[in-house]
Amino acid sequence: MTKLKAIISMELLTYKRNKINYFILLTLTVYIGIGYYHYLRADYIEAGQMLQSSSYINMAASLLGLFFGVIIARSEKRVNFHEILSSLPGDNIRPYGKIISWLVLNLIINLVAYIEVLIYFGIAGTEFLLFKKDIFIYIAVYWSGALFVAGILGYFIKVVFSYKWWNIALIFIVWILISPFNILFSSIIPKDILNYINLGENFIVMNYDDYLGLNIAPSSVMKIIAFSLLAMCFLQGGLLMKKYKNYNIMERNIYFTLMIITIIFFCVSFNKRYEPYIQKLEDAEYYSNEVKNIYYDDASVTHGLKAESYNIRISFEKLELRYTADVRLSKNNKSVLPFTLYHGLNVSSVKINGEHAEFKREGDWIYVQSKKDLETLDISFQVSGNTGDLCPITESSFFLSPTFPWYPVPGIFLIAEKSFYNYEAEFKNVHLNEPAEFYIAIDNKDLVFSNIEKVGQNEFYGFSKGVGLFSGMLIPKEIDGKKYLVPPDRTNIIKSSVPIIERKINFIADIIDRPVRNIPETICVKPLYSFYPKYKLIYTEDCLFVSNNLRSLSVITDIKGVFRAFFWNDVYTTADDTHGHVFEMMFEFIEEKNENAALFKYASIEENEINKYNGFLVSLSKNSMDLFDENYEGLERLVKIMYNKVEREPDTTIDVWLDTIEEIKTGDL
Amino acid sequence: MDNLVIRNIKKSFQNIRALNCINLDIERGVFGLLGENGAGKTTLMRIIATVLEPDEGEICFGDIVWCKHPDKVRQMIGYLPQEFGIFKNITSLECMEYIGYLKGIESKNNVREQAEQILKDVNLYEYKDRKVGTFSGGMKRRLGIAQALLNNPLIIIVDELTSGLDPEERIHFRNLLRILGKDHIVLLSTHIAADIEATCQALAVIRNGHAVQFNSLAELTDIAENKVWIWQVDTENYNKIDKKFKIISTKTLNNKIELRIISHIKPNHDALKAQPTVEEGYLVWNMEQKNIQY
Repeated sequence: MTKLKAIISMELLTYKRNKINYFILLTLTVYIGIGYYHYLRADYIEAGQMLQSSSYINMAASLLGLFFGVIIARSEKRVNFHEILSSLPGDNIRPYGKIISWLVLNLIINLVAYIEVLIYFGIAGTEFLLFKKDIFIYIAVYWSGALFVAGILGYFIKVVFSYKWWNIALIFIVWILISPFNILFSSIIPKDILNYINLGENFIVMNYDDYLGLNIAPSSVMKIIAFSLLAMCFLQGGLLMKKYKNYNIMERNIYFTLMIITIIFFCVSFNKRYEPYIQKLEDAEYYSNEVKNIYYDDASVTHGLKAESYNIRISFEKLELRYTADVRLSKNNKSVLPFTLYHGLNVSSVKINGEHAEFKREGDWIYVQSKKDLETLDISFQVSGNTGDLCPITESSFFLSPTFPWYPVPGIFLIAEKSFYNYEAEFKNVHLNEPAEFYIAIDNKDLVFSNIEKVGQNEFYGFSKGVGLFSGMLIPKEIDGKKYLVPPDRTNIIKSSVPIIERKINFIADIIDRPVRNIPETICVKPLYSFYPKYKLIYTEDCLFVSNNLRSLSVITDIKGVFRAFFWNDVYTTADDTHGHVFEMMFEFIEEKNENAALFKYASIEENEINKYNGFLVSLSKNSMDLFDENYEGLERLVKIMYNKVEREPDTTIDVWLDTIEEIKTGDL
Repeated sequence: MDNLVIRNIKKSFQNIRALNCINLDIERGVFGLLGENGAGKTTLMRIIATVLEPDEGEICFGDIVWCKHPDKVRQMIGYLPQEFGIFKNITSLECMEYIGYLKGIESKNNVREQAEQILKDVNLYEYKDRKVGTFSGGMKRRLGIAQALLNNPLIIIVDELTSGLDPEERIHFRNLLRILGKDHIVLLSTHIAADIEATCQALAVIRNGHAVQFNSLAELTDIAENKVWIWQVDTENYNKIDKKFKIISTKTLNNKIELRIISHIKPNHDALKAQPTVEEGYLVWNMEQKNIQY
């Protein structure tokens, strides 16, 4: 131990007295400053993006580490000190002393970088400062972690390959391999492996997801630990290869055992590697093919069933949800109890009053066999699976929308549809008809929020028509009587959007002659993984959700999103979503009154450009143009008539639009 | 004190045989290894210092066998290699303390005490807080021998001690080695016979990877007995003699030059028989090995 301590002290002393290290720290400071210049000085603060876009620091750290590793390996040889040290006890532990010292140097660099980032964030005034632990972990994983691993790899290269020019070539190859640019090797190395061995961000051009937060999931931390151990394992292997006889049998056995353990750990870590959430589009395929063939009775969606209470105990495993839901139904005489549950969630068992019950699964629907005349109906579901693109589950976040049947909802609801105007599935607002009593407990270390009341650590209780659970980089705030759950630096823009959204609600309500919807008490940011986002806003009675990718006020308060959230998807409807699309266009045109509106553009399409996808819209737009007058009254009248019609009769076909225009034009309406 | 016994040591580098069956039995005292450059001295020293492993053979000191107990060996040797350097930005005292800890001295006070004492012995104490990077070649060499003496090793291995030293320092070190030889086995490798003559009680001559042990210096000098001559000649005759005889040294005296000549016959009736030195003994031995006529 004294020897190891002496080696570490000497290494640290030489680091301390080496002016290059101070130069590196200075360079790092300037380098981090580039991030500050680009992301924190402009009108908007993008602290998370600054860190996520810091791959240039990660790559510089890797390259520096590799060269540093070579320098560390030959530091004694360079000054002809190696021969004496080889003749002294403790020569075999020197590499470990060097690694520990290298780790200490890395921690110091980590600390300096961390403090600098905090200072920059402090100057910029970002709320990201509330997530100091996340910042520290990010810097430790992506900056100093990469530096540390690269240093050991550089050491390994120097130990195994003694030819200088080979070393330089190898350093550059290894550098590319462990960097985000390792995609260059995609023709010879599987992508999964390339993603895993990349010590930086996997998608360097990806926008920062401020709901998800920084990519510091446990698997990312585990990966850097596994990598460090593997690099040490390589180094030890190289040393054993070079100086096999210097090690006694016990030492050799210890090293071989450690190497095997490391490799096992590495394989486990690889198996649990982090996978960023990418829109799967599976729902689009599912709802365009399968659902059409399944019967559902839209006349009586609830089938007379009423949920009185839910008791749900949830845990998360990898990217899946797992829970037991105890549902109490009000008394009924049905022998088959239908429920709606998203098809990605598998039901492994169902019990009624504690006894196993037969059930049949058909896509999003479950049919549970029951006995008639039961006094109580306590149904227990064992469920596990994923919740699709609308409610993504990642390693460090999840979003379970209150408008989405992530728990069994009594009745037969159509969860989503796929129209040919959109290549993504269009989700409906599925919720209970009447509020039920909910108790939900979540086994999760991260802070979880809900639209019902929190009664303990990740425990919630309350009455609602639909319960949502949210976990991500959210800051709870209370401003002007409203509760906000928003990522750092987003409060102001969302707060500013409230009066504009209110104004647009009034505008729409006035046109369609409907009561004004009040903006709920709670406003929460939600994730959105969509190329064509229709669900920018989700409205429920107790919460308004704003998508995290909406960065500007005009996009958040876009009248199309306001209409869809407050007047179309606010309730469960089976109406053709094309109606919704047309209403959006109409409101956009009426509000903006300019040539950029979609309705005007469709009207401008030449005959020869009309196809089956835009045929209806072009025809509708061209006809709508005849209703223009100075006050747009004709158009507003059309919208009002159609809204009432579709609300009354959800199965109204889209051709009715054209008929109604004709009727308005001829004065029949 | 046990002897350092070297048995059948062989070592090759790729296809070149550096050491070929070396056998030595070394007693306490200063033992010299004499040989030409490239003869294998440094290879043997590095093997004894555990820096290299022999291909064959073994080295023992009492019960301690080199290949079986390398850590024990390392604790009882002090080694100064031919080329010695150290981190430039640490002080000589820091260097001594570092090596002291590596040699197994546990207590901080003990390390400091020993380091300071040895630095005094090698006249470096007043520079103990100076960075090694500012040291002259001689000072570095002194620091090198100082580190080898830490923890009072039983065997001290010094490779080319006096290379790069000025005459005064050379004398100082020779004296130091003589003192150390009283209680230690000191192995001194050199190609300078005068170093051996000044310090060693016994020696081995290495040539082409083979070693011949001489248990006293006299054994080597005796080889040159009756083969070394002193001859005073005129300056103009010097060139003729130089071509004819093996001249070892010359000394200018007024109008004449005094020559020391190796020759198995008396070179001239004016020549006088001289008492051979170790260097001359070595030269004669070497010429005989090479079958050179003299």
